[in-house]
Amino acid sequence: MTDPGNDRDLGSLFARLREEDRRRAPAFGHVWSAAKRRAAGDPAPSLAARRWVAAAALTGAAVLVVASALLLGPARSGGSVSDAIVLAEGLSSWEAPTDGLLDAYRFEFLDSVPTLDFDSMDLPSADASAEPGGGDPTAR
Amino acid sequence: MQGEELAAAIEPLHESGFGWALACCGRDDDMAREILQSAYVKILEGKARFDGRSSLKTWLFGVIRRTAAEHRRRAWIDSARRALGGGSERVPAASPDPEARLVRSEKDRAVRSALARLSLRQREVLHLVFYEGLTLEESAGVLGVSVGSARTHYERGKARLRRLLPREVAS
Repeated sequence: MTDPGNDRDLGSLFARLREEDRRRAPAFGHVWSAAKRRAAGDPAPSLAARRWVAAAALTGAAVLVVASALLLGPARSGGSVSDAIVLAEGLSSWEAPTDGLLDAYRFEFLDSVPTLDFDSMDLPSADASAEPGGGDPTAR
Repeated sequence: MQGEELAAAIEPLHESGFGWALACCGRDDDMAREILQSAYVKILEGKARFDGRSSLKTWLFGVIRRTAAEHRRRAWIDSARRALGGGSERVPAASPDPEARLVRSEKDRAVRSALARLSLRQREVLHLVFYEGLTLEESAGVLGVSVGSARTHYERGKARLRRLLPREVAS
């Protein structure tokens, strides 16, 4: 058993410590109500919890995509040869609605080199003296 | 016990519980508040149930002690993560009275410093006996150890504390 009589010195030290601690103790109502909120799941989850949720959501999405690919992939590629031929024919004969815009009938002139008929043109005279200011720049 | 009945039973033990939480976590105010709140959450969620095999105080102290051990483990994992470059995710709660720490007397600081240098078990058993006035048997019950083991920690803790305390503080 303990013998407080021999340990009065330690007892008084702890008593002083206890008094100081009790002054600093948070109010019971405050701690209890905060605990009640936590127990009810009220507070926002911690950063770690949120990261776990985000990681789990991403993993779930990735698993869903892979599972979809595995389930739907064989169904698409598992058809008969005749189905594949029909599909290929359909693809080769397919025309886009905008294919008409690619018709270049308006631009046929691009296929020929234009020629200029100088004889029929009314060009100004090539005589330099007729030009205003003279034709010899060194004559100034 | 549930709801208001539970709150009414625990409220008289609240201040002692805070002191015990301080002893269990190296006298860190913020950590002690967090531990106490987490212990109450366990009680409210029914993860810790009082079965009447011990006194309510012994049971509550046991819950607080286990909660403190969980917090220590979590703190250790966090520090290991930080050491590995993972960063910390624990944000310590703000102390409602940060200036209170500054007004502690030199004498109290010496006592706290000496207590901090004891082993956790020694600190715990000395706290339960001297601070809470429990017997060694009750203390052993809280700590989940035999009475013989509690007595050993008690005797060694006392001797070490006396050696560590400055003469003017111990007298």
